[in-house]
Amino acid sequence: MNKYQAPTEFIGQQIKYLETCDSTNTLALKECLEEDIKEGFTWIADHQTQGRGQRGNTWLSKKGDNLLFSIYLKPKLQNQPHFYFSKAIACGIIEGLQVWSNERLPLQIKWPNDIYIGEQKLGGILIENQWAGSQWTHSIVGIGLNINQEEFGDLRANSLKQFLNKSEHIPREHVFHAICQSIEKYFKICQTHQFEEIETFYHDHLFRLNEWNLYQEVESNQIFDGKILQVNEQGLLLMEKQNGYKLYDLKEIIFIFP
Amino acid sequence: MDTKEIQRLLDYIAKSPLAEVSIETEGLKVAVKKNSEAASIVYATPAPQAAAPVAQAPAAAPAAPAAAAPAPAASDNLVTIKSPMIGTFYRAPGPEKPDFVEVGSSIEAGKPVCIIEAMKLFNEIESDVTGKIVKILVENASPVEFDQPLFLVEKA
Repeated sequence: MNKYQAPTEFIGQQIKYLETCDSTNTLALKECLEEDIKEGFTWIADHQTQGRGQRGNTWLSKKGDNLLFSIYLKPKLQNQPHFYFSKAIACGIIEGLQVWSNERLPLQIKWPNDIYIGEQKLGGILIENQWAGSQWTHSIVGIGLNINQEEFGDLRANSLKQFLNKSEHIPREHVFHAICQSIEKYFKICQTHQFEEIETFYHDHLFRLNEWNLYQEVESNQIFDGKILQVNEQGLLLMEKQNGYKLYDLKEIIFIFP
Repeated sequence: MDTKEIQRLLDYIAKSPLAEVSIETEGLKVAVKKNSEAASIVYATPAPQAAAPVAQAPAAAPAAPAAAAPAPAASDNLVTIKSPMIGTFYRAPGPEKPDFVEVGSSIEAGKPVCIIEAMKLFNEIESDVTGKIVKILVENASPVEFDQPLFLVEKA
């Protein structure tokens, strides 16, 4: 039995572990169409040669230090806002890390779905959905989390090991098990359309919610003081400004860090 | 393209919600704009003709179906692939990757034709028809609405 196999109903139950691959998402997208692949099947890699972030961005990770995996899921959100799926996955990761750590780590979700520890990035999510015409057939949820990495260059990033000041490496499979359990919990909630529970948890852990901070509006290039009020069901960011309210799409606003 | 094909194309455009269509193939370029009142009057006339035989005496019936037949065939054969969501339309799987399809590409049901990105959810859209791409209706990296036609496909 693979040590990564998770104590869950389906997420992380069946595992394919690879020392190296180009990207777990790319591999999963290809292999999930094979016959014996069941929902929840998970691909884990020690190392990705072409790890991917948001469209074209690369994801860099030191070999063997981190958790890099992709899960095969079939969301039933045909006529519901699709962004609930993204919110549910982010909630699952945050709760899983909290359960694992047995303490209240300052874990938050930076809109729309980055995982933050304090003011630094701990991980990210890359969701790729497959549609046959107008039918959402399945999704590959790619997750990358910094567990034991110690060098991040100029990036505003951190790992669990560094944040917790541990001298020993953190066993990655323990973190993985906790995350699989919580993702499964929130995924089920999402499948039964109990969106309020997702909304509450997501906003309780939303980075910079109800705080005044600096942002840059891409269109006007203007830097302004803003307060995040909500991430709506479409995933748009509702911001209070000095002169009113405004909804922002992903590429329309930049978070300014001190 | 012969006269019959052009007639079929015009019939299709007349029935479609598209205001403007331009098609370019080897050695031929057709551009049709459907924004004047005159155009809608011209294309509205075939409809009463087609409807008339139903009310007419059976004796007139044999001639009518023959005339009406080509029009349904045209609209049956050309279909659109629509966007299942609001988002940004991308023709390639990644910034430096080749486009999924070009005008003239043969596609099968199940073949990916584009990506629609919505709030970091990347949606690969597969064709649900088999045929040939006749026209790409949206510019790369531009916003699309729910149900907006993306591709015009001639069914095989």
